[in-house]
Formats: sequence, C-alpha cells, structure tokens
Amino acid sequence: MLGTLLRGVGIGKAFSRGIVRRRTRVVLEDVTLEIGEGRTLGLVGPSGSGKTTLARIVAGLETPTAGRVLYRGRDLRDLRGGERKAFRRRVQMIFQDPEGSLNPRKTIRRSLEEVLDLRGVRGEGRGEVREVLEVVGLEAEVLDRLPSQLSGGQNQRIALARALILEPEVLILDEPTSALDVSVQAQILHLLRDLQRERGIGYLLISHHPEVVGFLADEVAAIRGGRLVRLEGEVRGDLL
Amino acid sequence: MEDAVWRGGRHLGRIHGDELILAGGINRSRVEEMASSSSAVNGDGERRGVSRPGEKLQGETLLSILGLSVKFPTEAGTVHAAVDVSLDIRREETLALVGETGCGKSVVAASVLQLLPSYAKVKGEIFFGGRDLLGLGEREMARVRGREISMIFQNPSLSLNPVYTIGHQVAESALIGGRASPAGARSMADSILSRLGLAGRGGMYPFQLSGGMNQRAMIAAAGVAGPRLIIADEPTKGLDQELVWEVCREIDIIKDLNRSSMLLITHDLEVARRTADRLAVMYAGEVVETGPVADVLERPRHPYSLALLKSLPGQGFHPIPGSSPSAVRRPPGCLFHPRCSWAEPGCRSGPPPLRSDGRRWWRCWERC
Repeated sequence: MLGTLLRGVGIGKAFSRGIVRRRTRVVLEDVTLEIGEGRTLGLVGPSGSGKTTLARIVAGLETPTAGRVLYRGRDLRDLRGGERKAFRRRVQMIFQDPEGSLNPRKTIRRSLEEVLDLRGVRGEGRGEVREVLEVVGLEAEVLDRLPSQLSGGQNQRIALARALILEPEVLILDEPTSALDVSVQAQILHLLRDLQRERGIGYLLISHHPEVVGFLADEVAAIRGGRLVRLEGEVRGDLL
Repeated sequence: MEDAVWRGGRHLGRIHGDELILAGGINRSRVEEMASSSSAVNGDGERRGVSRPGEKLQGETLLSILGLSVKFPTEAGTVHAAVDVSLDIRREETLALVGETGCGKSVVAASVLQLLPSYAKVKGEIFFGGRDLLGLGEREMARVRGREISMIFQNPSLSLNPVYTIGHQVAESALIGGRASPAGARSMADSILSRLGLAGRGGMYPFQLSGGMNQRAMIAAAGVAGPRLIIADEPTKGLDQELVWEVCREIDIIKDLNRSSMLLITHDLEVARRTADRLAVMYAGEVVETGPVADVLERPRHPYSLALLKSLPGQGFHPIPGSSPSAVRRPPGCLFHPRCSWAEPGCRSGPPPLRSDGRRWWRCWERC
C-alpha cells in the first residue's frame, strides 16, 4: 500500500447540551481510520450516525473530544504556520449541496480565481482556470455565469474544480452525488474515479447509497453505536 | 392504412384501420368520455369513440392532458418548459412522471392545478372529469384544488405552517374539501393521522416531529378531503432509503382509502417501479416514452429511457454523455440526438415520429 496521508487515532466526540442540567451525547467513540494515497475509504450508515461529524473532524473543521488526527504523521493540533497552510490546502472537502458551497453573488470565474489568489497565482497563471474546467468537463462559457444559472451537476463540478486548483492530496466527499440526478451522479462518479487514477488522490467517501460507495471504495466502514465497523464483502451486501 | 389526424395545427394521432391512435398514449375511453361530456370537444372531423381491439379497459380516464405546451418569456429568450405533452390517467391508476431536474415534470403538475405564474404561456387542454381545467376561472379552480385534486409537496418543513398543530392543518384540508363540519373535520383528521401511524400526535407542531412524520402529516392532509386525483411532487426526495419506502406505503394507503388516481412526479425510477402502474419519461420538456411500468423499465424503447436506466447504480453507473439541452436553445430535430449513441444525421431533420407497439408510445426516428 502507498503512503498514509491522513490517520485518525482513537477519535471520540461527544456533544453536550443544556446549561443547568448538562447532557452529553456520545457520537463517536475510539474511531481509528486511515486514508492512503490513491485509495478510497467508504463510510456508510443512516442519517445521524455521525458520518459527517467524523468527516469534519478528519478535515480539521471540528476538534475531537478524544484522540487525534495526524496529517503525514503530524498531529493537527501541532501544525503551525506553513505546515498548517499545507494541511488546509492539501485536504479539501466536497459537500452534498454544491449551491450551498459556492458564493451565489460571485461568478464562477471569481469563485475559481479567488482560489488561485490563495495560492498566490496572479496574471498569466490564471490560464489554469480554463485547464481545470476542462478536467471537470465544463466549457469556458460557464465562467461568466452565477451558480444559480447552472445545474446541480455543473455546480458540483465547479466545487470539485475549486478543490482541484489547490492540488489536494485528500478529498473528503460528503454525499457528493446525493443531490444530483442519476445520470449526472454517474458522470461525477466516473470523474472522481478518473481523477483518483491520474493523481493518486486519497478519498474519504460518505454516502448512504451503498452502490455509490461500492463503485469507488477500496474498503468500506460503517459507524454503529459511535464505533467504526469495517465491513467485508458479504457483510457489505447485507447492510447495503 | 394510416392517416394522420390533425387538429388546430397539432398532430393529434393517426387512424390505423379501425382505431384512432392518439399521440401520447391516449386510450379510447378518454375519447369516449370527452365525446359524452357535452362541452369537452367540439367536433371538427376527428374520429372518436372507436375501440381498440385487444386492449383491456382499466376503468375510465380521469385526467387527460392533451398537447400541453408551457412557455415562459424571459430576458434570455423563451423557455420551453413543456412541449406538446399528452398524458392520460385512468381511475385508481398511478402514473409516474419521471425525468431529470428541469425536464418539465413539475411544470406539468403546476399546469394541472393552474399554479403557474401569470406570465406563463399555456396551450393545450387538460380534461378532468369532462371539464377542461384550463378553461375554468380562478373561483372554480379553487374548488377543484384541495377538494378534487390534492397535492403532496416535496418539502414538508416548507409546506406545513409552523404555528399550527398538524391536526389543525389536516382538519383544515377536510374543511376546505367540504367534507365535514369543523368538529367532524377534526375527528376525520385524527382518524387519518392514526391510519398513518400518527395516533395521538394531532396536537403537535411540525417542529416537534421528525421530517418523516411531517411528511406523513402532509400526506394525511392531501388525503383527508377524499380527492379523486392526488399529485405527489417528488415526495421522497432527500429522504433516507428506509423513509422512502415508508412514504411510498403511506401514499398507497391514502390512495386506496379514497380510490384516488395519482400523478407521481419523481426522479427515482425505483420509487416509480414500486408505486406506479404506468410510466411517462420526460426529457427536455417532452414526453419521450410512455407505457406500463414493467415494459418501460424492462425493455425501454426510447434511447433516453435506456440511457437513464443504465446510469442507475444497479446497472453500473454508465453516465449519459453531455448534459440536457438548454430550455431556451433547443437542438433541431430529436432533442436527444446530441447525446444519443444511435443518432444519425437524419435525427436532426425534424421532430421524431410517434411510434407505438399497441401498449406504449415513444418518439424516435429509429435510424438504428
């Protein structure tokens, strides 16, 4: 197996509510997982099982109440300056609702160029916008439109293009095709598979559609009672 | 011997031997019903009331959409949302209207209920129990809505009123439907809510219930007035798989309770397979294929139906190349030809002919 990019060790997460009477709900308990180069870990399970919470923790968007997340062997909490920036750039997340992840007031061109700004690319480097559009299978004519003028599938491609500009090592895909039509879902899944083959990106793929996970994943896990359970072939068949 | 039948410049169907075969799979019973209802159709030379031998009659037709076209003038040009749509729904039958986002499914539903924005340009006829709904005034139409045709919307949290209990809202539907006194309406509401597994929950507000329970409350509200037709617009979109089947069962309960017909709008072919009797596949505003569910799903005749099925998870996720055409700039000839694996230059030459094998209808040049 190729190198491990992201590793979660003994991750736990509990949410507490209430001020006077404090109640805690344990969502994740002692979860250990690995995302390797060019590999896909699929995560299945019903709504509310903690899939998205785990994804957000691994992406560094939320802090676990127990355990740690390591990026290339380094604890996320210890990352500073350049290292932290590198982590932020190389680990990207794609959400279910593409419209919700794009600024509705910005043209597609602006949305893509602001990512290049982050990388410090100016002037001629902007040609990259067109290249990445081609990778995700869109024509340059979408550049001057707003997200509301594009279809769900087109917007999801734009969200993917934004992530790709940052040359990610890991993509965390949280229900990336659930809001899309079946024929568009098939297009996006093929695109994700091709990108992984060409660039060796590691995926953490969350979906409650077993077939979607089965299409891309090298291994599949589910969260049951807060714990991560690895599923083997036949068990997968059942559950799914 | 076949002769095309035209009316008002629109291709209505053709005469084949002794039968009148109408575009869009309209069966003879509709024609009869229209002929017997006084003002429905004025005779202008077309043949009607002709029987189609060998076809089992499955009850009379309740809803008949004939040559419906809906256009929206916009700054970017005219949006062709529905183009020459013809559909039939018989009594107690469920017709599933399937297709991808933006193909015009919801526009068809909104046309039936006349809920389209005022700037929409609507052509065609929509016969419901012998009357052309497009000819009714707002007052008469308001009586049809809720009482004779009810609707289940996609998003219960947006469609239920947050400041009233669900019992109140279901009872309100019964009242508007004119089926009960205020007190009677409440008890009807309670009884239908318990049929749907919400016994004793009538006093609760939408925020106290889960999304699935709210969806059931919506279904109860749609069914309580005893509608003859229920229109369900993507009732399962965005739900977990278990909830999807639950909602399908609940819709069936309501339908059986009232012996209603149903127009089910969905992009989920599996939901259509489990729930519907017949299927109509829409693409870019047109109905491209219609027929019994099993026929269309097992042996699709239109290349788009086939491509759609092949993109399903169970069929290997084969994507359809390209994307649906813009509703403003539509391709010449067959609308699907730019994405069709069997397309030939001739497919651009004009609108494809309507074909039939007696059970179903599809629009294709069949150059293959």
